Amino acid sequence: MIVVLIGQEQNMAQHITFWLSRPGVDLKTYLLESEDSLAGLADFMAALPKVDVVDTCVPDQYKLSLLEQLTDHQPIIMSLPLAASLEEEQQVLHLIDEKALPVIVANPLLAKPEMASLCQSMQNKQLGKTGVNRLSLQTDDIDYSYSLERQLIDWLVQSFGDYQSIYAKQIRDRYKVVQIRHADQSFTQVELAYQFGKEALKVEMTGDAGMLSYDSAQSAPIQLTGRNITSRSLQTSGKTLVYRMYDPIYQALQQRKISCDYTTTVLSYHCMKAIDQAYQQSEPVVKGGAKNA
Amino acid sequence: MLKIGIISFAHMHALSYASALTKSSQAELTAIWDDVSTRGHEMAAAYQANYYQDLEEMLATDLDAVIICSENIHHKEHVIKAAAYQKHILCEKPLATEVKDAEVMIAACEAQNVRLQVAYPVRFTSAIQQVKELIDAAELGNVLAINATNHGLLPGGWFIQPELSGGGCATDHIVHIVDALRWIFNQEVVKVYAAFDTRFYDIEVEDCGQVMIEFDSGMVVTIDPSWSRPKTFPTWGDVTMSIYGEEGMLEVDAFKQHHLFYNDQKNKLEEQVWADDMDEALVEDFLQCVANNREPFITGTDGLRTLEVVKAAYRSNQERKPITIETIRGGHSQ
Repeated sequence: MIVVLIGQEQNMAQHITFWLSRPGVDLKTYLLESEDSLAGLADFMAALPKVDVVDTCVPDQYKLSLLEQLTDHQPIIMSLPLAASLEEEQQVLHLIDEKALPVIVANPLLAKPEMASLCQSMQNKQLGKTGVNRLSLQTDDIDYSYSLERQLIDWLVQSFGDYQSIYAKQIRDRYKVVQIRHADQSFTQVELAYQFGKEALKVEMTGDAGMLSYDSAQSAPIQLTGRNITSRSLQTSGKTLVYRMYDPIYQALQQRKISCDYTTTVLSYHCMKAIDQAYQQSEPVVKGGAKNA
Repeated sequence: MLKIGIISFAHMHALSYASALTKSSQAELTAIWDDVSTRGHEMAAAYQANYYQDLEEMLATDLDAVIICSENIHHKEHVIKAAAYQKHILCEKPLATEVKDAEVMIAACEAQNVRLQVAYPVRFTSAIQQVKELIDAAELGNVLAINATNHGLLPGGWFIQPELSGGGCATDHIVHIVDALRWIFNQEVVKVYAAFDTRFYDIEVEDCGQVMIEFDSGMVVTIDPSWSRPKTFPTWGDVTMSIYGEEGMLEVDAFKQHHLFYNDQKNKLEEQVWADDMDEALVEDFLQCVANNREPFITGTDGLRTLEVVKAAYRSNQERKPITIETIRGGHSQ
């Protein structure tokens, strides 16, 4: 299996480790020093025998240009977000559609075992008829806010389905709260709080068959306390995130069962757009523009 | 010694208030009226009080004050009757099921020079009182937003009969958070957006939903009032707040002070609260208000303002758009 890895050197280590650990993989790397380096990609690809999959680990703002360079119809693995902004993602999705590019969208958040498990519980209807779900993300990492939000909304759509109406408020760039009524009439509230000095993700999901909750601050199995009263929680991770994201794709490629269905990505893109619109207006945004039933 | 009567044990909080009265050094529970005579007799025997089948007969005695714990829909009738007999009143929340009823009740008490206190015990929890101190000391700076919950188990009984309760979880649970925040921040709600549904149980009232309100400073508050706690949940519900200020945040769990009881008899994990009893503090404050002839800590107007928010939430759910409190006060559609 020939795998082409395209990316910046500083981001490639875990990808290289993963692909080299998989039996039968012949890894070719294409280093991207700047966006200009994409100019040589077509020649690089043309010189290779049949490529089985293209793995990308490039900055979000390069992804559109990268896809423009790829003309053959080999599967392309790309992580969310697909671009650096919603406007740019619209162009990316249009390009994928127009060129019929077989893109495999990987959501890093969905690869985290705690979030994968919650999503699976919802998809398996473990809680029965869903009631009210609550997500709260508190972080100081405001530089990655778009990336975090894009992944979170994708996870949400994968877990609870599409939206029917959205009401939201934003207070500068520090606080956002979104109340979603889903197509199945269940509720989800998403809270995004930046730079309040706390790192935590809390999820609570309820249904008529029970309730599931997760709090990242309460799930660290190890607490290290020094004599000077410093304390830190140690979260053990086990398999790497790259392994968790990529191994299912590798297995599917091996069994020739790869799926390039990005329907959910499109749904979650539209959900992001609706949230963005809801911040700008004082009325709820309703799917299709009508009053929700 | 103040003589106190209880009007109905329909609301389970009556038990807690009766228990608080037995512990008080300045009052005694002397009279009980209940339209369910078996319950009335049982409670009278348990608290060594006199049972009255006729409410007016009880109100004609030398009681100083009454605690009203009847079904929500009867609060209006009972408050007006008690006021007519010049009994000071502690009324279980919500004060009424309609804004105009609450206004009539407040006016009746004022006309008879009767103290009217509404039972919002959350203000009396030590955690919420400490939050008030921290906010007053500007520890968080300007507060931008609050994410609050007042979840619960399904209460059952008359709470899920709309003709007696006036509504479901929104009626039952929005008021506690709104009252606490009005008091902590000394601000009023200006706008409400809400959506409700019945998704957990086959009942006639809403059992879940979400609410987003704006205070006059622009502070955004969300409230989850759902009866969404599963049967296996270790306690009745919660009152939590994440308060986000310019200078930091507060995370509040008003009932965090508890032991965990792994109960093999019930095959269930239970929380056993060891913090001071908020109902006792509420009753004690009411008794002091009566004894010292002072304004209640939580007035009828407080009850009215919170009710306005609940009614705005219901209208928002119906019209699927944000509703201003002015609209509710004006009694016309937006």
